Amino acid sequence: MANIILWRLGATLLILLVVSLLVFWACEILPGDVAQVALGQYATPENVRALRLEMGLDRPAIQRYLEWLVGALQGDWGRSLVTKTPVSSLLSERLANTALLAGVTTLIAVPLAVLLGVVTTMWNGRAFDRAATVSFLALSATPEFLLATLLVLLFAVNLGWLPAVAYLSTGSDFGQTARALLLPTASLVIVVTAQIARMTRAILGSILSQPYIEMAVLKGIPRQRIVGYHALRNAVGPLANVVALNVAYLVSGVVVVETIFAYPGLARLMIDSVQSRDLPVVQACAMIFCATYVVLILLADVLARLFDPHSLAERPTDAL
Amino acid sequence: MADDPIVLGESQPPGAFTRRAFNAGLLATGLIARPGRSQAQAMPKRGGTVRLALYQQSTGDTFDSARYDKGNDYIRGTSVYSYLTRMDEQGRAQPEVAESWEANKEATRWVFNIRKGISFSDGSPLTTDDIIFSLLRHREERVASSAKQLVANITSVRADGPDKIVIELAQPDVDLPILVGIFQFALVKNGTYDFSKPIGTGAFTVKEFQPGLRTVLVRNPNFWKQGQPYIDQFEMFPIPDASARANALLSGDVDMILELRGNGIEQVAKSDIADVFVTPGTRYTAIQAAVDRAPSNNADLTLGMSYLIDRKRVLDTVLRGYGTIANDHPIGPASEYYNAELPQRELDLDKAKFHFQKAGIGNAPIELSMGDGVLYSVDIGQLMQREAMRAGLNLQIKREPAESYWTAVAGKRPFFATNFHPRPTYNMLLNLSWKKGAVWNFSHYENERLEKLIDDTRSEFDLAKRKEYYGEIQSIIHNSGAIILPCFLSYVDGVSKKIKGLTPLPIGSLGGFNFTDRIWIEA
Amino acid sequence: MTTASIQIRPSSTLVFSAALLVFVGVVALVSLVALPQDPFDFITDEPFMPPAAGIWLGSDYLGRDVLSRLMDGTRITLFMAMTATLLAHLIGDTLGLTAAIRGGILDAALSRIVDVLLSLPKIIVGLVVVAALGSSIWVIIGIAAVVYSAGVFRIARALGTDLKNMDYIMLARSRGEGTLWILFGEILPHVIRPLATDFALRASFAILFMSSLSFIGLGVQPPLADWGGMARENLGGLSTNPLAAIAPAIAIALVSIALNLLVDALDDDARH
Repeated sequence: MANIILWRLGATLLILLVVSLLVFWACEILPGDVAQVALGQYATPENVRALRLEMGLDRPAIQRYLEWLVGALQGDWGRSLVTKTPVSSLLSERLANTALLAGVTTLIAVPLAVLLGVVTTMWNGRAFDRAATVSFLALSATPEFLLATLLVLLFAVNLGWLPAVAYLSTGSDFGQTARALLLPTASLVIVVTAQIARMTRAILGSILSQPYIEMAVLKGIPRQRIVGYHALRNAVGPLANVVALNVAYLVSGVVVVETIFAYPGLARLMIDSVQSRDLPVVQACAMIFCATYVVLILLADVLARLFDPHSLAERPTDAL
Repeated sequence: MADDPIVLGESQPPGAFTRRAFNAGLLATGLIARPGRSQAQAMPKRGGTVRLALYQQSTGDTFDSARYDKGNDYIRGTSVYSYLTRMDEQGRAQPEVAESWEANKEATRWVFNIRKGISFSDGSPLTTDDIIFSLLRHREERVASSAKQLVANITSVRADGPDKIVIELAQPDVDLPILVGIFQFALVKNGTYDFSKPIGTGAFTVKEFQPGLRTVLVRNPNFWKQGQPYIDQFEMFPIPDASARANALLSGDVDMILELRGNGIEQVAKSDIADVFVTPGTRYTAIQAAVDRAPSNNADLTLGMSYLIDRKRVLDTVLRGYGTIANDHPIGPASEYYNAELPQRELDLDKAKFHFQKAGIGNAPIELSMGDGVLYSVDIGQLMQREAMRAGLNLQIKREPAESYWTAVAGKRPFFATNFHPRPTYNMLLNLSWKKGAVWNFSHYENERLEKLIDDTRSEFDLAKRKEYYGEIQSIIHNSGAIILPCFLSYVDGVSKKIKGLTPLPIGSLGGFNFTDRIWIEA
Repeated sequence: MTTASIQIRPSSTLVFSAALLVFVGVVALVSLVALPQDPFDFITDEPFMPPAAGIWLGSDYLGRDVLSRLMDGTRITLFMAMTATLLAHLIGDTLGLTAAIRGGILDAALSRIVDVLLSLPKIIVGLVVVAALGSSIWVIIGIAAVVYSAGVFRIARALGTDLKNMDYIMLARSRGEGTLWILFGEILPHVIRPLATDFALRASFAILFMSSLSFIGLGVQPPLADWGGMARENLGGLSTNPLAAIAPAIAIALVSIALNLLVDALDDDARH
């Protein structure tokens, strides 16, 4: 086990390296470099050249990449080309915000979803199961921007209970933060819960059709116990994989929710930085997303191995 | 619909123009009527925080006034910096840092008397050197400035003693006092090239500035205007989604928002928490043709396309009535310079076909590059495309990514959309957007006669002659085949009923982007 | 979804979902020849007009008929989602199963490439590709196909790995069958069901992915619109004609439900 983990961590470094190269290359080939985009309407050949010089873009691409790499290896993420501030300080607030939103959502959504999945499986075929299955499908097929906007209209505009934006002033206290986070968290909880619950239902279903479970049924073990214990235990591996992918999504993919609630998180930062061609910031975001993903998947695999030595770790369940 | 009264909130914001009462135009010649309702003369109250939601999110937000190009920057600028003058609702220059000014008879030499005792937020006094630098830095090679054309007429700026600035011009300019008050000419410290830690003499100082994220400004206790600003703190941050922005105002989470759209306008008008704040003006979104490349160098093609727009529909459907119909040139119909003899272009498929025939364009696909970064352009493009189908023109809309729009699309593709805020004078606007080599001359249009006329309107004192020049300018642009300008767009913003002291100024949103030192909160 | 319960007749779910999909398919075909209104024409000056006789879903943000645009969008949405998902499966299944059978360096290399793809947010990949290549239906299909093929790869590889050591595969190997033969002849029939489940799920995600792209302005070029794009462009009208935004969302949900239930029901029926 330890060997596998070590080997995988080694592979992680390789993946990070490849991603950084890919990101660097992508930023190089995009139309308009950071100097042109920064100058926008005012770009003239002269001032673009001057700004490139100032940003150090006149040096060969390889050299710039290697400099970035050496810096990054020493924990120096460089400075944003656009705002001139250190990338680390630019990231710190956003990183905290993203961690908060993703963390709270995960803490609520995962137990809720697994519970719903288990309950629907226990009541297989009954009205509740059917209704729940259809609701999960409908909710996971609703565009996030529509869901979020409807929540805002209802709870913020019509009822006036909650803030419409999750914008936080510096130094907001706990109460303000909690209130501000309610709607974006609710939107994400709905999306993620629907996903995971449906997957839990599917995974448990396929485990229940395995011979050893059918054997248990024949032995007369109550269905509740079979689903809630035997099947669930075997489902931990594949479930961990599903949860890992959802959490990775919460960290890197929630652009829509961050935009609608004006919540300054990492996903939006990466979009904005790609748009302004601010390579050091894009790189840092990509590294964070990539590392998050790889580590989460690794954790899921470790869990899977712990709970199931035959490894059913990867199941048809990771669409997102 | 243009003549229907617009239902705003029950109580209009103090001094909001109704569309009918005022539809924008020339600002420099005192054409702006006072608003119909007089503002209650309440005593301003001190204290409180005002939060403004912006509509553009950009990590390119800056405090370098030479690079200002959006409302975000203008508002930050007018809050943190001071200016020599400020334009009033009548389009006249009012004293700010310059207490008074006079010109010689030819209007080529101007003397500005500088107010005493003004200091920067770091404590150092504002000197004539700072002011000279603030004007002349726009000429420097290393400064990427949109005001280059505007300072081209200035031959020298020098100090005459500690409290006087003398500006010499190559050609006469009666509007110089207005010119020195525009956003780009923020007063900064001599020798400043790095604006990451801005130091100004304005009403506020910077507490926190994170480009694309938030700006927090706090009262400058040493602001030279006695008793101002009234509010303690001003915060601005982007909510790029239009419905989310309107909802934030309706739920009371922000006090002011820029750019209401579509149904958001009616929702805010109906609410009892906020009002629609309308500022009619000559802001426009236009379709421009790059005249230095094919196929857009074919004037008949562009002229044909200019008959493919149902301007009334653009006004009613896209702008929800908040605008005025334009005639393919940037002079507003309310201006005394407006050329009423020029026939109004309308939707006319026969005329369009006639021009397309002449252009010999056939069924060749024509690309129309639009972008979400250009207000309403995708909507206007779709209206035009629909009529093009009827006229047999194979017009295809291409929605371009917002970020590289101004570098890779505007001026670089045959047909593209641009938008433009009005300027204090039409002369400034024309200099910025129609002069050869001007950064905002996206069509790359060059016309000797037009250049001369633009210069003449600045130096000509006789109103009748000026009108004549402007009349010809309108006719040249109208027939240039370089621009299709269907409508002028009013600024439609949202303001909480708590906010008082705001008066519209038709060069931008929320009092011409210049309001933070005057507003107060009425509980 | 598999169940342990026994169902004898073709389930009502199966009938319902199949009927719904057939209906949607018919709408997509009909939209080619006839629509209630011209989906690109402005039928009223009133944006977001509430439903009325003849304009059953009201008007959109430019005064166009929502119903006609919804029907026209059916074709675009289904075409894009299905093509993208099919391509994703074509790439992902082939590579995933091959990696599982062959193992070794090929497997390791492909798996790491897939990790790289999966670790980058899909929407960012979309943003970069659209910025580089411009937006067109085929570019969007290509992006969706590539980003989703990574997920398909993982599943196909996992399924293949499970089967690799089964007797009949071993037997085929010992007969000296080629990889391709083993892949299509021996393995595919055994994994087709979970892959079909994945297809249904992924097709609905592809529709949603395209709607996220339109959210950041990178969707289908106007005046065309897929369902997600329609929901996006009419989001501002929720107060006067909510149907303009909600009807396309309901369409997405219905297709997604029908697709998934159909696959589940087929699975059940096959099992019992």
